[in-house]
Amino acid sequence: MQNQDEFYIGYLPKAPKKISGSLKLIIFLLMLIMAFVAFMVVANEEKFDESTFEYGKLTELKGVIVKHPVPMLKVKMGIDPDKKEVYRSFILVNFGKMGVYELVDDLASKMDEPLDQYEVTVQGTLIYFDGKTLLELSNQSASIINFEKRDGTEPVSNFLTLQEEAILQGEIIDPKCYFGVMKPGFGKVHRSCAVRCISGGIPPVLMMKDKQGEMNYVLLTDYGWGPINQKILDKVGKAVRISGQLQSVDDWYVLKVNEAKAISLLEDPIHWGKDVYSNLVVDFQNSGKHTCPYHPEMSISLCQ
Amino acid sequence: MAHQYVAVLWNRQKKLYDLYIFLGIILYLLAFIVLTMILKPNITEEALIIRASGSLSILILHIILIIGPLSRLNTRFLPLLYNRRHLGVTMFLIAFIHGGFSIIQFHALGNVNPLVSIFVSNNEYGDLLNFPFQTLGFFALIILFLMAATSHDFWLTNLGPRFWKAMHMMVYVAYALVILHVALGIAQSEPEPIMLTLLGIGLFTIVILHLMTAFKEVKNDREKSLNQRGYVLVGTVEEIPENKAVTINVNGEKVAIFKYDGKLSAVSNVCRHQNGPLGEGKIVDGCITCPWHGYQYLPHNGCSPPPFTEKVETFDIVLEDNKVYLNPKPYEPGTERSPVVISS
Amino acid sequence: MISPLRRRHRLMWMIIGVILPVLFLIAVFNVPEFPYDTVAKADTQHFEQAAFQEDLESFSIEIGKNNDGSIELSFDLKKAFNSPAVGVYISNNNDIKGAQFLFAIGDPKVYSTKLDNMSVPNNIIIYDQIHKKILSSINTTK
Repeated sequence: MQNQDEFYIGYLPKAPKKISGSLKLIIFLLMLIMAFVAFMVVANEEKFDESTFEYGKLTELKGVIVKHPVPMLKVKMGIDPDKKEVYRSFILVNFGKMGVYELVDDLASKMDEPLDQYEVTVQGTLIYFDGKTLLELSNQSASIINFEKRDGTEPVSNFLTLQEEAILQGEIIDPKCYFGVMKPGFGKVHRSCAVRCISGGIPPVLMMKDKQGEMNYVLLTDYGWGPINQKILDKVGKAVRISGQLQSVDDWYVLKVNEAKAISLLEDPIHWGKDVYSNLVVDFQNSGKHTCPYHPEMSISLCQ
Repeated sequence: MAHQYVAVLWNRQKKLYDLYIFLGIILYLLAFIVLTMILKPNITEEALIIRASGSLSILILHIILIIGPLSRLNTRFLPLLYNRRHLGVTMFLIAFIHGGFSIIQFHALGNVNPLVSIFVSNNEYGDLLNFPFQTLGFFALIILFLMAATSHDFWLTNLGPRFWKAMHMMVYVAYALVILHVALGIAQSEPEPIMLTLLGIGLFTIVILHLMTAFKEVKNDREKSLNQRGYVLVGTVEEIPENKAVTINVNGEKVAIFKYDGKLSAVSNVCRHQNGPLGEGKIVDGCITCPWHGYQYLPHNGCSPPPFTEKVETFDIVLEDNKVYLNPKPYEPGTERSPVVISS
Repeated sequence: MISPLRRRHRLMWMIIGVILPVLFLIAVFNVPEFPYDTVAKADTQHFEQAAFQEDLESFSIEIGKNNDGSIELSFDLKKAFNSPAVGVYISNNNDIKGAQFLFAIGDPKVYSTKLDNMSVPNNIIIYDQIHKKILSSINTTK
């Protein structure tokens, strides 16, 4: 025990001098520690992406709603030098952690013609990052404010089958969070949220990275371009390897997952400092065969 | 000590204590926010709130947990112990902000009730590395809530100090849950091992301080043996400092022998408020004063001065030559025993 | 501290003091690493006769003549623009009105197209169609 002339009694107005002096030093040190910890946490945490969610701002877009491979709004950008119409894909998501499969089905049932025969005016909130765009129907079904029959009947989506059996590895994420709303929108910390979003109908996306840090994103559906959301919930947010048929559809890739070969979790994910590289080359550059945009198995020549 | 329960018995020291808590929190949050705006500007507000409140509450929890051992190792830390409860309640409130925002951010607006989603979104309860870390955080928050809700002396009195303290020992369970919540949560997503490093340093510090304290206490725990008359030799009169005490361990519990005004008295070492060590206190204005919160007892009968009603057990002392002997059999709390006069 | 409390502390610390550091260290040594793919890269196009070339931080443009005399524009996007719908246009005055649309850009990759007329355009405009903002304008005549 120290020099014990001084004795601290809390309910007395003043603390004894030496104790008071010690206390001031202790408090000063504690404050230093607090500032230091704040600095260390912020300086060393991972950088946040520039993903954007235009929260509170509604944008009006005119385009065509398609159901395949996932519900999307195709907005015409222009006509290219080859006189082809070029469309930009906006993946549609609902308010909160919900998707639009039911909303779109509901809308389609009210129409006389197939949904892609109409040009719709939609009001929603933009979500975009790294070359991909989504549109949140912030007012749910009330976001669709007008529709009229469009000129022309050609399909607005251009499907190419790149690889019959591709094997990809990466992490399954939900695009609404990843491309806009959440920081970070991937990894273990985000897993519960991704599970909720995918379970709510937001289309799952495989996030892929190569050695140089370049990213690729692939939509995941079943072989009929139907949702596989509920079947993959336990694999979300983890390192996985998936096989299936790889297609490109305008500005997105889609993998029609081979459900017979289960999505395997990568074994041993990976010990500290050791990278896992796949030696299976994924070729997105393939010119690919044209596929029917309405029937997943058909080539375009047989398509209606 | 009061018989009418008020929310807080304010005094100057408590106000200063709370002021410093407030300043510390403001300092941390300002530093965190400003540094984030400069270094990591793409953050969202929710992520900023979640990270700031989470890291701050863990930091405060570490400070809270080192106060106990530090006070045992060096009495200059006792002022931090005096109002530690306010620190605990504050820590819970900040942790609640973290938990609340996290639940809303990650679980709300989905197809499942958010409070259910915490437990079912990731249901790998059988796996260590994939364990749902948010469940660990949730239960830590429940424990901290129970502690904050019963932090008032009202509960201390009505539950009894022993049960109350046993319940508040759950802070260690909450601490373990919090460490694992971070280690199996955010630390798994961050490539820079900063979270784990800071946490490791914190864990190491707490373990080391507790071990040092344990070793120090063990030395004082050795029980003395009885002589043929059934008395225990305490030591010589000179060994007892003026207006202070020495303590010895008899029958599993400590007894404090005080020397004051040329007299000796012996009382139980255990304060009736929160079982603080009376023997480490001092005689102030004729009363034994507990070093933790200043509760007082008269040395000759173990009673608190009126209007207070706490009482401790008293013991008989015999002085032979210069040696002090203690009769280990306690009297009922509040029994008057004449102090032994020290003849010069 | 009273003896029941000391006993409780000892029990608590035997459990926490041993198990907790062990679990902590297991978490430390098992922080997962991301699995990387090997993705085939497109060859960057280089023309034998490059009529124009510009190399910037987020993209590079090359305009060249093919053997059949046609003019081709190759646009290598290195880093995606932070905009929802971006188009690349050519124009002979620096105005988006009346500019000819070439292609939409999104993912960082190589985009290319043949140009209709036989001359190199004066301006290449990169335009955000939704926010109606010119993101970048390249003048080929300097």
